[in-house]
Amino acid sequence: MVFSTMKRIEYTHKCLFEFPYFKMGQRHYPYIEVDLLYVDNEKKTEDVMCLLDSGADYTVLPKDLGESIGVDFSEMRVVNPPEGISGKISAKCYISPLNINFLGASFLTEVVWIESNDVNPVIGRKGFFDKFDVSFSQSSDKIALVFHSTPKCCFEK
Amino acid sequence: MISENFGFLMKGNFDKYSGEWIAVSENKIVAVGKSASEVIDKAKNIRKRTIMKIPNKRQILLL
Repeated sequence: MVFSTMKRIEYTHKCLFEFPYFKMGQRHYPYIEVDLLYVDNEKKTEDVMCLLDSGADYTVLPKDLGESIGVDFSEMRVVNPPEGISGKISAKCYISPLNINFLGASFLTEVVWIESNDVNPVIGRKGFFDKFDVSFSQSSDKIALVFHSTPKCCFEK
Repeated sequence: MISENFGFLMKGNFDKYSGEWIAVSENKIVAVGKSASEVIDKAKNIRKRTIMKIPNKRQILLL
């Protein structure tokens, strides 16, 4: 089944979706495609492949991607850099609200923007993992997502 | 799958773009660059595009 990222769906039942891992040589990664929409700029959206990371508290994205979809960082406060398993990030970081559209549903959440081109876009737990039950099957290279029908977070365009 | 672009990215071999950003549309790569904004700018006239940072094959992804 092919979904358009822009088509809104009102889910009335629990739905199970399975996605293959993104493969690069011997390494396989759980990526999903999401549509990003800044709340103050409904005209600019961007479809982005993001790593699904159950270990990340927040969704993390590069700042220049935010600027491309209309996020205004000029009056945004710099926040303490997040800490990962590899230590503290040294680049400037910001937090803003963002709409993440996925499988026809839309979620408003807070995301961390990092001023670095080395950032791999990551979907973290806040705002996403509370909408889906996510399971990773490394042996079969699949991500399984069960969407809980919560009509209030879905919008028809 | 979500979209045609997602299907293309899942099936293709993108090893040569390791560490780079790409934009894909209609089963082909339409832009390559060092940053998200660079590929968005290069592919600005292509409406149904998806961008992705290809993981760097020389680095282990620890987040």
